[in-house]
Amino acid sequence: MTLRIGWGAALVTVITFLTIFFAWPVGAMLLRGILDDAGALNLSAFGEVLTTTRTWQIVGHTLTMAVLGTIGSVVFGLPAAYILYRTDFPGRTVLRSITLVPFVLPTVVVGVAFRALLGSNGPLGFLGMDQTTGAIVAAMVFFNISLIARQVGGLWQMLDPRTVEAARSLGASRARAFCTITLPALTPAIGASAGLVFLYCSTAYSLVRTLGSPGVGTIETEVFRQTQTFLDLRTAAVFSALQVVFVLASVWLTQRLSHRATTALRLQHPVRQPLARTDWFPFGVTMFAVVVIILLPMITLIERSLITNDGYGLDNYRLLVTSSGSGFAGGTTAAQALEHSLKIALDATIITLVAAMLISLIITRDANHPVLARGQRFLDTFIMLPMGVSSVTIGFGFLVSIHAVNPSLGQSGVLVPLAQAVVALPLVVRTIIPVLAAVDPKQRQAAAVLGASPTRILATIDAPYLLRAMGLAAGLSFSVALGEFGATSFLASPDYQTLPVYIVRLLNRPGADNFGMALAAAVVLGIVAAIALLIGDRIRPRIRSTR
Amino acid sequence: MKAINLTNVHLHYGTGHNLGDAVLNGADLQVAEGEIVGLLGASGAGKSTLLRVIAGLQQPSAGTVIVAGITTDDDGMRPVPPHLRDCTMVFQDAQLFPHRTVAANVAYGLEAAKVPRAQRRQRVAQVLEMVQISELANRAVTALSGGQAQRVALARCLALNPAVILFDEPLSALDRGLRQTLAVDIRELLKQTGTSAVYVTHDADEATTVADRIAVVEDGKIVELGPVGELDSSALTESVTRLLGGIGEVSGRVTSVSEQSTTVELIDQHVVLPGRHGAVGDTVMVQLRR
Repeated sequence: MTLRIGWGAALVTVITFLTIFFAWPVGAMLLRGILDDAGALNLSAFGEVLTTTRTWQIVGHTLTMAVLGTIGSVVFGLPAAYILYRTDFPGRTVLRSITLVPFVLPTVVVGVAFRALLGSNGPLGFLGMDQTTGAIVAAMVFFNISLIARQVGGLWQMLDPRTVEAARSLGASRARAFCTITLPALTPAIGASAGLVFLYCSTAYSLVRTLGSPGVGTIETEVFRQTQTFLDLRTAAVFSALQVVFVLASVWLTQRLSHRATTALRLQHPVRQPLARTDWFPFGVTMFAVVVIILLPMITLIERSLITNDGYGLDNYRLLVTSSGSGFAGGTTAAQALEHSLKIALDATIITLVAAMLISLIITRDANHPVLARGQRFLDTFIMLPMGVSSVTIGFGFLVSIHAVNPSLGQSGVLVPLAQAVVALPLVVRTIIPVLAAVDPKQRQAAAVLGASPTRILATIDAPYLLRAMGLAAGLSFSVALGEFGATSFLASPDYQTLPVYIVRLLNRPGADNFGMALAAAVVLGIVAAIALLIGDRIRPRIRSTR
Repeated sequence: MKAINLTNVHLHYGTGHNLGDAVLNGADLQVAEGEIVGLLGASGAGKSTLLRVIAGLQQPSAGTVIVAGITTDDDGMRPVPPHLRDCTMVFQDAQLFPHRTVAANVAYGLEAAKVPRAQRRQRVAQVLEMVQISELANRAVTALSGGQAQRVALARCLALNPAVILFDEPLSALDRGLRQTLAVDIRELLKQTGTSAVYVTHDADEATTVADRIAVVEDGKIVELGPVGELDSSALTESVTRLLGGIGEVSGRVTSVSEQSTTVELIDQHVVLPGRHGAVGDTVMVQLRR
């Protein structure tokens, strides 16, 4: 009985949290768009925005970049999937580790790296791509090659090679066998991962901001511009609503594509074949992707951050502690911003972990009642929504809901960790759930027939698994919160900035010092975020049996 | 007192007007103290569901379930939760706890029952000795063979000295030779400790080795077949006959006899036996093998 009350309390806590910090902000944002100042229904804002040419230019620009980013990621990701997951050669594991780097780095860091790479002094400066749409697309490809390679490669390595051999023996050339046998088998995986990449590319706010919002910008940068520059919250709300529509459409598309059956495939244990001479083309493409698209920006970032007026040195890093950047009235240094970031990320991590743990436990319970089961499925879908609505919507939503009702909360800096927690929550829940779902329900039943009460089952059967996932979940939420820029850029008060917001501000101010400091700060941010993830991954409490 | 008494147990999936398929449809089962009942049945007949109802892992839609003197009433509205029943279960795939050693698995129920540490240790050692795997005490359960895992699963149940142990096809994943040895050991241990048991299997040989009495689950009901020694074949329907093709002795009427062979009518089919056995019209006992 007490346990049932416990579950009830957990459910109420979770629903309250999601209502106040997710449903209300998003709802308030939508209402802001359809109500006028007096609170009456007024759709004129939608009409005005949707009939402006500029709006459609922005939508077109957003769409173009997302499509190009997705195509680029697939073009480089497919050969990489083959080379990294289907073949074997010395150095394969090294290459594969390098492709993990983008998973670890905050987007702002990558943005800064591409500025360093493509800037007029950078190694690829001659391309003239600095602060162009092309630069943004390249950065999108940087982030998503590994995603495509991992998801498609994971399936590819399980395909039975004999199917292709059969096709070859029936007279199909390598290319024909690939197009008629392998490609159709991989299509569901390609579709699903490309859908996800499209989603990421259409919500790449921090990349776009860091790379200088070229052209008319994107829907997201427009929300920010309307909010911060024109203080026009209604127009911003309309753009925010557009963004939600955009994202929901791509989520829907992803779901559709990933539900395509993979059942007809003959799967088996992973197979690797030694790299053959005929693999030169995919191998070349993969090497280009790893070396030029992934490695080069990273190396350039570090190298440029060490450049001083006379050779190499730590001048830029010294400035992080001593200077607040030239041209700024405020006195915050990068070191102080990092300190704020760490504190805020710690708060966000604690909030995320508690909420994620409760949600995961609720979702993975054996539902012995249809109503309960339906509730679980609802929560399961609902919790994914924050991932769908983009951090900009969350940041803007917080601004027009909680912040609007109680501005002092905004000043106190409570909102930033909460918003970051909402952003990190779906990712973290998604890491915990598979671990808990891996517990065979029969394990709980075995414990029950051996006399363990439901509370004891929770403590002795679920808890050990939960703890194992906790380290990774903590590392993940800390690193997401640390690098979070979208929501934070709306909510961070000028005297309590986080490091990513600080870096973007530095970038947008002219001056060699500011640029150098931005590079150095990005290196520091990248290292701290990577360390957080690595530590989290290592902390897997050894489960000792208590006898 | 009966160890298990099921009266008119019904169970169907689905709720409200949509009752769905009935899995149990008026099942009755009585198990005396210390008695071992072997439960046979085709797959999907509801054998496992019946065990889960006895264990309290699933609630019947109607009927009375009494396990070791504790009653769960008619409508199943106030079920006694599984951990409060004096009844444990050996699962088909053992379901050992992978994060605990062999000894810690065996100690699990004792911990739940708050048995003091010293006694717990003693009991674990004693039970491991009983099931002949003392040397595995500190082994990780992931390193066990299938047969060893089932011994641990049995030890885990025996440690609690429960009134009833339920077996859900515990040996079905093992090869035949091992199955026979373990079946003999299980019977011996149950008799030695005076534990009642319901033993679900689809292997008739295994059932006759372990059980005192055989019953068959058919169409959600339980058909009693009687003690292993004196199975009454005339009560069997055709499907059960097929199922029990390999069970012990069955009586039949001799229909023709020659020096080379004897034809015997068993229920409604004829079997030709090598050699001469009795005369036409005699009733003989035939040992059936699959």
